Amino acid sequence: MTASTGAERMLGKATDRLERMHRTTVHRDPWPDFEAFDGARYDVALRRAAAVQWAGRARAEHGSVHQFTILSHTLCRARIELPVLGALARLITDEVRHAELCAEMALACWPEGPDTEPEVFRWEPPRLPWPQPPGGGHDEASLLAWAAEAILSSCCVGETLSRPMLEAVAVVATDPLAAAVARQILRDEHLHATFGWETLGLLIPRMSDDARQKLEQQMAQVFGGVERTTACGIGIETVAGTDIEIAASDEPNLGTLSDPQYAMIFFATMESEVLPKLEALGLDAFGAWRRRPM
Amino acid sequence: MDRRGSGRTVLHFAVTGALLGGGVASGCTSKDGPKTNTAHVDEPGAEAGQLHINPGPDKPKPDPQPPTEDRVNVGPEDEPKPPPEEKRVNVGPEDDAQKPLDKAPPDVSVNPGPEPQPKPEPAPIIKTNPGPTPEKPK
Repeated sequence: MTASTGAERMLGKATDRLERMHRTTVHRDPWPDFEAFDGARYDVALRRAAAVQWAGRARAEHGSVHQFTILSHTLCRARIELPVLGALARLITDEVRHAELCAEMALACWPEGPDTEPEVFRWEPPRLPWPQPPGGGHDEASLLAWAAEAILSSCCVGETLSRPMLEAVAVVATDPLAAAVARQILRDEHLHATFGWETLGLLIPRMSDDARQKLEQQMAQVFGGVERTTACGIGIETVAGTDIEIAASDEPNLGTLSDPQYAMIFFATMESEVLPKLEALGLDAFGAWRRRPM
Repeated sequence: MDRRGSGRTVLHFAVTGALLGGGVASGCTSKDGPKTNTAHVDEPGAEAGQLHINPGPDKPKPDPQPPTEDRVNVGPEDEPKPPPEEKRVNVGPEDDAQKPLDKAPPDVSVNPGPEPQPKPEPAPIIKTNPGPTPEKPK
C-alpha cells in the first residue's frame, strides 16, 4: 500500500452526500478536465517545477481557509453586521475550491512525483501569519482591532497582490489546463480584495486613535514580511525606474513566473494600488513602508 | 497594466522611485511570514535554517498526539471492524427513566425552537420627588 501525499490527502473522498454538498457549494464554475492533461508533451523538469509551485499554492490556499475561518469566528464574536459574515463565507468556500484546484493541478503536472519526491506534495498544518485573536473576556473593540490587522494583511495586501500575479500566471501559461485553473481562481481574487477594502473601511472609523496608531505600526511589519515572501530577494533599488511586459512566450509554461516577474508585480502593485488605497483610508501607508523591517 | 490586441494579452508593470528609501535593517531572512497565495514557492527544504520574523507565524505547539498520527503521508486507515452482533431475545425498548443520569442534560437549543418566556421582572421602584412620605406608625 502506497502512502498518500498531502495533496492526495487534501483531495481524499468523504461520504457521497458530503461530496454532493461540497460540489454544489464549492464547484460553482465548470470543473477543469484534469484527466485531459497531456503530460507527455512536457519534459519532466518542467512538470516538476510546475508541481512545486502548484502544490505550494494549494498549501497557501488551504492556509487562507484557516485564516478566514478564524477571522469569521472573531468577527462573529464581535457581533459584526451579518452582511460582513455573509461575504466572508463566500471567501471561505472560494479558498476551499482554490486549494482543490491547485492540488489537482500539482498532481496532474507530475503524477509520478508523489512516489519519487513526496516532499513536494507535503501538507503541513496551517499556521497563522498574524497573532491569535484575543481570548475570551475581551471587549468588541479589541476583537475589531485584531480583525483590522488580519484583514489588512490577508485581504488588502495578500489578495490585492494575488490578482495581478494570477493574471500573469494565466497569461504566461501555454497549457490550456494551467491557464483555465489560474483564470478560475483569478475570478475570485478581485472579490476577496474588495472584501478586505470594504471591511477595513467599515472598521477603521470604529477604532480609537490608539488602535489606529497600533494598526499603522503593525502595517510596517506586514509590509516587511510580505516583501520577504513575495519579492524573491529582489530589492526595490534593483527595479525602481524599470518596467516589464509579461506575455506568453514560445517556451512551454505550466503556470510559473520568474523571480523578476514576481518582484516587478509586487513592487508595482504596492506602489500603484495597495499603498494609495491604505492612504485613502486615512492610514500612513507610505510612512509604514519606510519603517518596514528588512 | 493590461493591453489586449490581436488575441495576445500583454501585462505591463512599471515601478517608479516612489518606494525607494526607508526600510529598517532587521537581519531577518525568513520567508515564512504574511504572503500572497500566488507567491513564489521555494524548493522543498529551502526554508531550513532561516530565522523567524516579526510578525511571524505562531510557533507550532507540540502535538499531544503520538508522532505516528502527525505524518503528512498518512495512508488510508483500516475500516473499523463492526462490533460483534449480540443475540438478544425479547428485548424491549429500554425505559429512559431507568437510565442513570450522572448530571443534568445539557442546555441544547434548537433553531428555530421555542424561545423561553422571559421571567417577569420585579416592578421597578420609581420614586418621585416630592412624593408621598409613608405615614409613621403611630
